[in-house]
Amino acid sequence: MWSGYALTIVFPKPMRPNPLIAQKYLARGARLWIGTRLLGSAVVALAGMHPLRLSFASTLVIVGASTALGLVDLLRRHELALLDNLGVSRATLAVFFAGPAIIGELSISLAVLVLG
Amino acid sequence: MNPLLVADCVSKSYRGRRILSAGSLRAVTGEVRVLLGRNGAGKSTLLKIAAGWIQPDSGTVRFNGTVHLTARLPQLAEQGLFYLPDHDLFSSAFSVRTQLEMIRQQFDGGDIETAAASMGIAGKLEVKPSALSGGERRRAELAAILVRRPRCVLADEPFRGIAPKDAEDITRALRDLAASGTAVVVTGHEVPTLLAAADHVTWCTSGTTYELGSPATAATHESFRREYLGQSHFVRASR
Repeated sequence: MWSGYALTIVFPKPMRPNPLIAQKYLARGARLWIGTRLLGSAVVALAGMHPLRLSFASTLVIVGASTALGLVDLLRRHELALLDNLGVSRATLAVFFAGPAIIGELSISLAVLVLG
Repeated sequence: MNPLLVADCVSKSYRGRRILSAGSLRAVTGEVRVLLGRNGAGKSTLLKIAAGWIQPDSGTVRFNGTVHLTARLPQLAEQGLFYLPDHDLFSSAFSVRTQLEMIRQQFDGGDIETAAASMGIAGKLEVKPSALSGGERRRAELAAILVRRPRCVLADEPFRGIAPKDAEDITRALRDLAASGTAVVVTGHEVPTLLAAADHVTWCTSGTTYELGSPATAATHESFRREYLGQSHFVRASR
């Protein structure tokens, strides 16, 4: 007797991380962004430019760098096994590190715009 | 009984060196299965493929009736798989309690205090894993499995470098998990400990796997005895 499988193509929806996981990793993302931003602003200030008024490309570099640092930090701490076992996808992890950086950069841009 | 997890006919090469050519692994509900083989035989690779931790060159992973051409651990974990790697599971950044709490909240898991007490680490919950000994870390990881209450556990060398008392407690925990309906697969080199815990033996050699059956049946397999267990095991077994 043939007992095959019905073919169903499933596009899995990533599991939503619980508030404790989100809180811990968003906080780490925020710390990494602050560090990256301070370093970036210091370099810009040394070049004689306004440390808060960065070009769009520089802002993208800072967001990219803090996200990359977050992912490297996960590897350094051997945290991927735990997070994979928690059902947290790599895309979600990238959001944890890019999210605070994007919000932070938007806030600085807004503050610079408002305060002149 | 139908296996809960099947890694079927998988192959894997690293930098042109073939580790597995046609390895298969099954995890069956209520059974502790041990995967034995020499160093470099591909045990860990097969377990990692079955867990979706790495991708095979060919072959499929079926978990809970769904065939995955590219299985990913986060997806399988959501469906009830827990993979215990051969290195530390826990992060050094958070306390043991925080990490157990993450697992409990994510999967509506079991009681942390009960799991910690059962594994003898009740007094170590507030410390970071880096402050624990190797045996205590393994106990804490077993406590994580108890909190998670998975349907299937794949444990890569859980007995490596731990004291006999810790090995005894971990064996008991794995047997209890199987008795409660979890499918358990364990690898390692601690043959007496593993055979004592096993319901079924799978032998990984020359890039493929052989289902040898119960430990008693496996002990009568000529090639397995000659090529893996060695002469001293004959002597011990015959006494």
